[in-house]
Amino acid sequence: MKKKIILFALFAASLSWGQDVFEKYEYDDSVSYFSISPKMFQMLAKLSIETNDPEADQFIKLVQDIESFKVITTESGDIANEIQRWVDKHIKSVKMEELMRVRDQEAYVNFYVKSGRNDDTVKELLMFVTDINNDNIKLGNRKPETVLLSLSGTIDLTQISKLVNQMNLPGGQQLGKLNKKEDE
Amino acid sequence: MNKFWFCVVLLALAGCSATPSLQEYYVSKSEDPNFLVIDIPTSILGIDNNALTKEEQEALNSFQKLNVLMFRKTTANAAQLPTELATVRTIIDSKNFDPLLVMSDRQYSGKLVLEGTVERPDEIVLFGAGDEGFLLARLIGRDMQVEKAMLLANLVQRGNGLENAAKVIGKMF
Repeated sequence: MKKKIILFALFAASLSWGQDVFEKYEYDDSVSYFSISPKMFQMLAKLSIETNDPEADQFIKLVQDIESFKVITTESGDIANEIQRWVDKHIKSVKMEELMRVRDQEAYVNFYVKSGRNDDTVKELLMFVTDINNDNIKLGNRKPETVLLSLSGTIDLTQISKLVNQMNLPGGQQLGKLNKKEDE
Repeated sequence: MNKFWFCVVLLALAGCSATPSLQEYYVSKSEDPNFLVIDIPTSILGIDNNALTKEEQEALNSFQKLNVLMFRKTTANAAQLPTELATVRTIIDSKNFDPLLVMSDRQYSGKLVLEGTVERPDEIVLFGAGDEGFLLARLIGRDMQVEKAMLLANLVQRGNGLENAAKVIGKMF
């Protein structure tokens, strides 16, 4: 009987380990969560939206190559620690590399990538921002201290800063800087 | 043999205890005074079927109706809100539906889910919840042609569909 309980506990634990940090806090009051599922991207691709604006067209093309998009922000220290742990573990298990690390007065920003087929594209991008210290950054009526953004699909690094800028999230500027460095 | 019947009974029980469908939830709440149920057929847009090309007709016909269920919080029913929210969330989060968009914040949360395949969804559901209550909007169709949605949007614009709908709704009150 005892053995059975232990087995069940192990089984239950393995289920909860598999869950990622985004879904876990979906209904938590101290986080803001936003996600676009692969199905949504498939559907967007089907809609064949046409615009006459070249910039918007470029943006749509960029979006069509993305498979999933998730952002979680929180001001809770406990959850921030949990996110940190998840990031550390995820980087190891997926074998992601650090793309860049920026520390300035406003925030501490880390970018991790999983390389794609060529140098310009990545399969997965994680942006992890901590210690945000900027009064201008507000999402709704809260002031986030930790932001984790995850993107997967075929991601063109030179285009992605535009998307992050559109979202008005911290870290977009840093990504922009990265592109300039590459262009030089 | 006994084992067989045991299995059958077990299966039957499992079938009964499964989460209710969204349709069942709608039906069970349609008599509840705390809820507001609105059924909006696509015919409300007042688009003249004869003036359409065959392709446009097919697109329009694949979308059947919009079904809205609202719960507005009052001091009297405030206690009911968390239970209702939990029920709806179990239905929406069940494996019958695939999430498309999810957002949640301290005050508001919203979810867009789909039933069926991306190519031909049978139902697209928007669920929004806040401090004031919640709203469920179901777009129900028959093999909805997603790629025709833009065509339909143009159609609605051309035929002043939104104005027509506003007139009809105006008459209801």
